[in-house]
Amino acid sequence: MSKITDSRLLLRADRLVKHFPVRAGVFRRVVAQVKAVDDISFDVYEKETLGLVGESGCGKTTAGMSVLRLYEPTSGRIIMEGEDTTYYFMPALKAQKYIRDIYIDRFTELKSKGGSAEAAIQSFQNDFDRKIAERYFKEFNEDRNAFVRSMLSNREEKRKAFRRNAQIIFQDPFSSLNPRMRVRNIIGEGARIHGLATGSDVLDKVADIMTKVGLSKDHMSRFPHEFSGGQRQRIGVARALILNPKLIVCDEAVSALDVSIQAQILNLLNDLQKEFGLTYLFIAHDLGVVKHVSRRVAVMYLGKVAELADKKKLFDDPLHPYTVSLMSAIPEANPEKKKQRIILQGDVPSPINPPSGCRFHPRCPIAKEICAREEPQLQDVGGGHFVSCFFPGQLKR
Amino acid sequence: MDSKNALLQVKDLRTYFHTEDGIVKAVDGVTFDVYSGETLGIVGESGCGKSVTSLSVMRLLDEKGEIAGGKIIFEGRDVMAIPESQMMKIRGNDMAMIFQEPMTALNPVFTVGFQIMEAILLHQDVNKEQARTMAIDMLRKVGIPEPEKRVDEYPHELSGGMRQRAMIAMALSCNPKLLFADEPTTALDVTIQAQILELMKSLQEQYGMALVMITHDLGVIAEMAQRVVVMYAGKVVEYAEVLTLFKKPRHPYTWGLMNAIPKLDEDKEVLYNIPGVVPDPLDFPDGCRFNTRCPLATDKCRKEEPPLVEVEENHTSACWYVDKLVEMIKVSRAGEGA
Amino acid sequence: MAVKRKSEFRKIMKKYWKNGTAVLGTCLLVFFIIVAVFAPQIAGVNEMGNNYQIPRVSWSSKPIAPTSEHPFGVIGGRDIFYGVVWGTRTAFRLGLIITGFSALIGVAIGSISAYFGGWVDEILMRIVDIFLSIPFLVAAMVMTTILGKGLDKVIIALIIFGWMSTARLIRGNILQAREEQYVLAAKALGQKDWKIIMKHILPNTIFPVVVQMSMRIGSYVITAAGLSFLGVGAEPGYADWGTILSYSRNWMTMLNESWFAIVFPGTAMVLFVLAWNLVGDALRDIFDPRMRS
Repeated sequence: MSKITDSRLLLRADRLVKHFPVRAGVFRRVVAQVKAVDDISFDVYEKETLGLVGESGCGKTTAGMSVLRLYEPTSGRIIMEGEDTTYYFMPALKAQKYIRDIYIDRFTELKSKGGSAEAAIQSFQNDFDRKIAERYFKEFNEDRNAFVRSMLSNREEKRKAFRRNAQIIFQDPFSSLNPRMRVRNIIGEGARIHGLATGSDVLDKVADIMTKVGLSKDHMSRFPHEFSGGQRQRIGVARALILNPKLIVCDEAVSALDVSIQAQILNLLNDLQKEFGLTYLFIAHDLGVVKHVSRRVAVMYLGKVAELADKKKLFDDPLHPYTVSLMSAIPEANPEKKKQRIILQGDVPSPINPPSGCRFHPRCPIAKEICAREEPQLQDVGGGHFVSCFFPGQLKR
Repeated sequence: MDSKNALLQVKDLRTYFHTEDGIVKAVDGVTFDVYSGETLGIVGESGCGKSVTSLSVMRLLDEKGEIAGGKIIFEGRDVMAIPESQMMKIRGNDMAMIFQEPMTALNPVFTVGFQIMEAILLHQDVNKEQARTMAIDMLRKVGIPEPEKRVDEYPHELSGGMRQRAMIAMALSCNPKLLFADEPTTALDVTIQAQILELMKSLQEQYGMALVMITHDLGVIAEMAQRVVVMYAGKVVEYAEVLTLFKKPRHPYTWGLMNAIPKLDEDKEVLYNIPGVVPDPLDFPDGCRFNTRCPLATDKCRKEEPPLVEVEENHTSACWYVDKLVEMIKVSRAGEGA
Repeated sequence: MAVKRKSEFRKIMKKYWKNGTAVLGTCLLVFFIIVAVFAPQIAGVNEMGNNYQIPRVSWSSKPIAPTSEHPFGVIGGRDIFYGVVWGTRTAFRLGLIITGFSALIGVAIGSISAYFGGWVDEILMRIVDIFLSIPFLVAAMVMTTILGKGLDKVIIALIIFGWMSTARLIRGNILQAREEQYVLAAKALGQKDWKIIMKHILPNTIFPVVVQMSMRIGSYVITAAGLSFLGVGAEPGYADWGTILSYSRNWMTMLNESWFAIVFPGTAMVLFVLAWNLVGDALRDIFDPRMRS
């Protein structure tokens, strides 16, 4: 993907895939795969908000969970701050195999093809892979074992650092807080795990964070059920914030809240982003909310990214027919604007057995024969506006 | 409009729930009319009493709930005076209801067709064969593909959108005069919501029934309703025609609500937010119930309850300081324009 | 803050005391505890040595109807009153030890099964199935026959065949709790797996087990009594409600002469079971967080 901003790349999801096996029968055999996320790539830059929007079952939450390794991805890479973090959470043997498959074997092949190590290094387009190739050839002189050992060293610290840097805020303010823990322990848990504070300092830190998210520090000994939905969501924000993370995945963080409370939390997230320089991966189904918080937006449909662009471009000039229909389907709070809607027919197909070709073609108003046959790739149509459609921009509002 | 012609008149309705912690005044003085063929929107956040209002009219409250006062007049009859045996005939036949979660409203152990047929057989003088044909017809009308096949399927075999369609088919099978739709699209995806809203509009045109659309979503209200009741903490705070309401909100809560939603056609750095939380229904504040969250609140608001008064024709609001609000809206709109 | 906490506790207690059956259960339980604690004061001690051996008052095995000296009568030469009073201690011992250990085993196996999943889960759950497929009473009888007579053997047998339902319960609860978002949140914080179990999963799954345990304390006493009645339980003369019942076995046809040997220990047993069941019900209400809000 081309660079569309000067700010530094924080997170790259590279060809991320997550399939869930469906088991059945006495022997719990795998009979099918739910292709929740099926080969998606996106970048998140420092201090920006990338919105991930789509309807239920499109894989947006799975994508967020996989980035944080709350689900182990089926394949693909998660690169954070220039480090491949994919193998951090794998069992040791699997991690070794991953490093061999993804790096050593590829490097060896490229070298034999290009003739020299230098040619192999230069064949990489992106900085990240080139750097690793350089290390492999120059620093380790193609010593496979030393390379693997070095990659696998300090995995415990690496994991911890990753957890500190990448946090999550959940949708449900009720099930996301342990009902049997006091708020001071819920918020303080992270600080204790990472040794950010000890003893009574933890409580000072908790009090500090609670004030920052708009909670009264006098309430720290309460249990979650004594708070309202909005306040509970603030507790969830505080729990993530205490680690001073760089990235926060907001998984439908305001969807369960009433309109007036939703606005409070959105404003809070906005303020915190400025104050702490946070980066958000904001997952939501509400286009209005996503538009409000995001700088760039990725629209997902059935495990794929349909369109990804700057917010303004995406909302002013949507190119993918799904994006267009989605925008036209939203009832807007403006009775004067009786818009002509594009009503999509049918339901979202099952991710177990997605349609051939373009996954949107059975519902697409402008689908042609090619759409059922071939799968369109996500392509830059200019200025960082990515769309995966054979006929971008042909469906008009 | 002359309320004598109204299909449904609700006057000063009060519904209280007797809980172990005290009396919850879920609905506390709600007045509105519904006319044949129109759509009335009831909008408000969770706990404002909008659902309880409809359950009260249908007389479907559980044993803890009690209609403590007011009048409900449906087609000139006092609903509260109708014996339960007759009420059962009215429900389903003259008034029907659809819910947010069709999975819980449909019985999982019976086929969709059976449940629709049951409603038809209960209210209409037809035999089983005819009822089945009518059920299939109904399923076709609500846009369920292959109704002859679907009629024998169980609710869990249908998708969320299809289930909602099936519930609408069930509710409309006896051609009711009044349909309550309680958050009918909240659990659905946007593209499916669009389908269902479109369906409800066309069915309403076809059948000429009155629709009461209960929702928290101002977008759905703008899309569907002709007149709107805005509720807050068991009270009606504003009541107006839809265009008037969105153009000239005359209650600070309505105004706040409209500004709290992120809209597709505008860019704002900061959303207006209504501070604080909805008051505890066991302990509503004195005076205006919105006073704890209102930017205009004065001592008067904290002591005296504002009555619902007409601010212009067919537009009522319960606020002591409508003038101040008008001024504030002017200033803030000017600020946005600049 | 302290006031708030206290008032919440008071609210729970208020609701508890309003609940008639809970109060009844608690009173019964307190009564049994008092009887057990003050057994020596109430029924005296066995001057021959072991207090858990009911002293012989007669060498005739014929039942003697209640008198002022033997208020519950005598059977098999043993004083029933002494047996019932000291039997209360036995009942507590039986119930608490069996429930405690079987719960411990059940929690351990259930947690391991749920945590590791896969084939570990598969094997452990099949073992549970096998144990469950053997009729409980028959299995316990076979075990005591193999191990020999005596209360401690009964306890061992009942533990070995009593842990399965707890294992299943805790496994189900853990699998459910594991899906809760707060568990994912803890994982995202970088919390260690065993700490997630200790801090987040177990506290939210253990309470149904506690409720189940309290209900089963009573039923284990009945089972043990059943074994004693069948002659594979405690040795003769042991202060145990079942043992007294087993004496009446030979006098079944002459109920008018031996009714007291059934009625008194029988009533004690019924009330004991009832007490634990009512307390279990009340605990379920207390542990339900919804009751607090």
